[in-house]
Amino acid sequence: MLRAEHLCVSYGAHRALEDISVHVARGEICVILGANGAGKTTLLNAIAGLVAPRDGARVTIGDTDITRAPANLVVEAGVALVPEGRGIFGDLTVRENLSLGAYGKHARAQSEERLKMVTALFPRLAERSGQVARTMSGGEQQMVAIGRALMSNPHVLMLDEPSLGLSPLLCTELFRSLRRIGETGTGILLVEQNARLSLSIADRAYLIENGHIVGEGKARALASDPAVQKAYLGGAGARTQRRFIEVHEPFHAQPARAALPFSAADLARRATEIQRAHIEARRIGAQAGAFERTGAAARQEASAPASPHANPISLAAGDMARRAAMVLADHIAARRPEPAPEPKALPAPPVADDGNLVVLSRTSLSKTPIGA
Amino acid sequence: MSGSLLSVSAARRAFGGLVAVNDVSFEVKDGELLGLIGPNGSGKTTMLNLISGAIRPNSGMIVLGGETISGLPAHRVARLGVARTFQLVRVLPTLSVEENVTAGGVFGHIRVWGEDAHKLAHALLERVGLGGRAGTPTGSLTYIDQKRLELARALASNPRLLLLDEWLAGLNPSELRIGIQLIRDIRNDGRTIIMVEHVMDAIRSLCDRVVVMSSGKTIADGDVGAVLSDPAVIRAYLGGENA
Ligand SMILES: Nc1ncnc2c1ncn2[C@@H]1O[C@H](COP(=O)(O)OP(=O)(O)OP(=O)(O)O)[C@@H](O)[C@H]1O
Ligand SMILES: [Mg+2]
Repeated sequence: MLRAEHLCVSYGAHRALEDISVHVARGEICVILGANGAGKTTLLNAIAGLVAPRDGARVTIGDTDITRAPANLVVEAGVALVPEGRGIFGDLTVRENLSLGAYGKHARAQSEERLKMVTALFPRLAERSGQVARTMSGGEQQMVAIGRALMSNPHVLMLDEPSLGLSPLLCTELFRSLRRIGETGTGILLVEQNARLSLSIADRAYLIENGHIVGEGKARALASDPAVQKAYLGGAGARTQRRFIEVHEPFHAQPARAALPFSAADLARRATEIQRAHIEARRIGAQAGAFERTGAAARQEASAPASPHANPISLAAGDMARRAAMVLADHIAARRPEPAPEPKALPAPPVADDGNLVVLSRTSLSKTPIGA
Repeated sequence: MSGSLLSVSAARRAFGGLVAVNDVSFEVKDGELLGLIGPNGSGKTTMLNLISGAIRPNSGMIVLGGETISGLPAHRVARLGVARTFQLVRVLPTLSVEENVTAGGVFGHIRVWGEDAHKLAHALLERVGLGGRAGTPTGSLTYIDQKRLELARALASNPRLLLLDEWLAGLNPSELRIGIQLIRDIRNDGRTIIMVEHVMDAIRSLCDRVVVMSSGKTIADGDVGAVLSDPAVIRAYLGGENA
């Protein structure tokens, strides 16, 4: 179903991915194993449209070509990513974060059922549905991020270290649920340091080192392979001499933020304004009206041509910000009966609490791909 | 050795109606490596925040080496020898790797300047696995490297008590082995450590004693082996398969 071929990605002189090809069939669970810095996150980001692969790459989902498509189109095509380092809307409540995940048409139809599944997996999210996400504990925030991706009902779900920060009990439950999600036909591409647990639910695995695929096979076979055990499962006597990290990939999405072109930064700011205004409106129980206006403005800017100097990563960032603005505006317009106060101007771009740019799941779309 | 370095008595902190830390008491001996574990949202990070002075307790008392630190602002607590790393990493993004470490030295327990600070920073970066990366802008570090940097920064203040909030999270087995050895070495330098961690391999191989929190309360406190096989701990935290 998902097929990515000949992916090469460089950060300056450093080659993070060297001709990598992976595929995930319907209902299949594939895990990618490798050291930190091997290129796993870059691989997911390249598929998700957050970094651009070089010429010669081809990424398809079913019959749809999503090679170098902006992140929003990738999401709309049915590929959802739970990014490394969470990426949730810190200012929004748990409930709001989840409903943003179910924004797309496809997802909305089944959102009740999905919500039941998510809250059965993470009862804490139901207990705390009104809590502002940034005040939640680390593991609770991870639940929000995974929950939101599950709400989008994607064809292929990509998860970057979903077990990070979860208790052993929840971790086991999460992996059990991933198995069940796979059984419903969703393909899963999983990056995970917990090799033992992930191999136990996976059908297939890829081993990646220094940006190359160095192994591939059935999960069961790999789990009992002595070399794999030694390198990834912490097998007995596996004292490696390797340094902490041989290859360095930049922290996800941060270069994008640093290089944010002016107009993208502007849009980012607007997305934050909308978020804040939304919260404020609900809090004072007052009316909300400026949302349509802001959403319309964002939509207009979305169709404006991008600067030729903007690099692909910052385009993706600007694109996310723009999408955030549009989605939120639509979302709010759909559920809000009354008009609202003017949103206050706030300087910060919509970055999640961990410094990552927020990434939305399946969303409404601008018909004009950014940079096209 | 073995006098009490830190004593927490009936520490309490609520957020609105939610009591995140509910009259928690425990002791940490000088030179001890204590594990603090428990389900997500059980109050572990909040407990570390109370010790480091990042937030104030509503009631209760925290004493470090005979001095009451509960209620003191974070910078005063740092001066008295408490340093920490964060679960959600906080490096100073506009500074270089070396500058981040030096900043730790300047604000900490024992302060160093100039050439000494420079040498210390390089030695610490080497130690945490960031040798040769002193001039790198922190914005371009991976998540794991940022955590390494935070540890170097915490060590630069030469702390008596080091608080690690899930410092080992996200490492693969080979990296984890190196990380565990590093924490063991730091402990062997004579530092007292409280580590919050969900990685049980690390807790098992490093900790002398473990305190388990659940819904803001302590549900177990004792020897690692005994605590990890306690049925209440298995039920609330470990689950059957990981016990
Ligand atoms: N500022 C706040 N406002 C409201 N609730 C809060 C706030 N800070 C923490 N909490 C809540 O207090 C509880 C304890 O949080 P804490 O961060 O201490 O958990 P933890 O044990 O560190 O969990 P984890 O293992 O997931 O990191 C959580 O349920 C959290 O949602
Ligand atoms: Mg915590």
